[in-house]
Amino acid sequence: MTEDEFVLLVRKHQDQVYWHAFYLLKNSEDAKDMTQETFIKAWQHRTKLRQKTVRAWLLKCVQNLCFNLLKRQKFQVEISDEDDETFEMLLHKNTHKSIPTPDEISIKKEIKQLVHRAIGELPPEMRSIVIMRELDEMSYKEIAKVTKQSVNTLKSTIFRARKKLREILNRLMEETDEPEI
Amino acid sequence: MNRKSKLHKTCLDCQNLLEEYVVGELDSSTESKIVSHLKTCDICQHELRLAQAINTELSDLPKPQTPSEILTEVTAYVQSHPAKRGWLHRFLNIFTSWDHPRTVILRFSMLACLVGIILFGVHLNHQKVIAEQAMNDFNYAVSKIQYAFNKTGMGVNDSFASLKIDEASRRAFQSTTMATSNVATAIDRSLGILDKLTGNVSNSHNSQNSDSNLQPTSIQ
Repeated sequence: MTEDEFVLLVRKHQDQVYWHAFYLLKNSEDAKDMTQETFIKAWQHRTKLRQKTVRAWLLKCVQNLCFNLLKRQKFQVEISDEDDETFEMLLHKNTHKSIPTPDEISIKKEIKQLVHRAIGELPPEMRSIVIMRELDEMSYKEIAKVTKQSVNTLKSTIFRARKKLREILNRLMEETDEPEI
Repeated sequence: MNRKSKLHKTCLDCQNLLEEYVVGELDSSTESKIVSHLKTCDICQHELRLAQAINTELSDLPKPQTPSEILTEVTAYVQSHPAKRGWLHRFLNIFTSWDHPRTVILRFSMLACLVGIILFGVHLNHQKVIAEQAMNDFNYAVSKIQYAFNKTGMGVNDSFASLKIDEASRRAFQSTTMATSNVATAIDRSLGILDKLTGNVSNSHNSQNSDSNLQPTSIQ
């Protein structure tokens, strides 16, 4: 693979890799670093890359890098307020973009934020699968390649993740005394 | 947890299947059971609304803006660590690197050439073996003839002095000997040609040739 071909590859896949890192780490700076590291690793291992499996390779790579970082962070400080702010800012921006009527804003915005907080509380492995399925719109088969699971196991993991989200959402609503949906 | 412990078994079954119900992955009989339960159960209706809210949010997750520095910095790294351009590297790349259509065609062509060369080599080797076999058979036959001629020449030579043969018979015998000598020369020449053809000049053949002087020298 030549340098030009590789730069095209970066252009094509950088968004997906970055989104994945961002949702896993909930921090734009770390997500940027992990994305860069993923592509640098890809360049170093360019002879092993295949066009058909490159997306799966990149996502697996960024997933591993993020999991390692999360493990390291576990032994350091809790995720700072600043990190959460970055994540919340993104959600806030998106909330205003998609809700039209003023009456619905307060309830829907809060529900939306609670759902996103719930996503943030999912275990990283589940979150990664949910992101691939929902944000990257990958097929079960493609995700199975990344996670090295069977399609049936993967489906069951996705439904377990959604149930877990519902449980977290219930808890968060009880904690904040949210109005009924 | 408390909420769950208070739930009826039907509610638990229903809530366990709500996610599948929301995305429409249940079979029709299970789905109808869920629907009929949901009509009468407020708790499960609440859970259903949560599952639907989650489904809506998941299908509309915000996509953060990718920082432009990623491309800039990765490009800078790639340019500072360029791919090797050696002929060996490029040759090996054909087999190991990117699945560009051109490379795939090149790979197939090279594979076809390789198979062709191997088959041609096998064919040549087969031809060579056949030629060598023919050569050996021929050498064996020549040595047999030579042996017979020598034997005949020696026999005649031994008894020649004691025989009283007239001049005509002697000439006839000498002309036969000349003819034999011509045949031997022809055989030698053809053996030389065969050797050139097969490219395998066997030492044994040469030694045989040197011995194969078919002229009965002892005949005067």
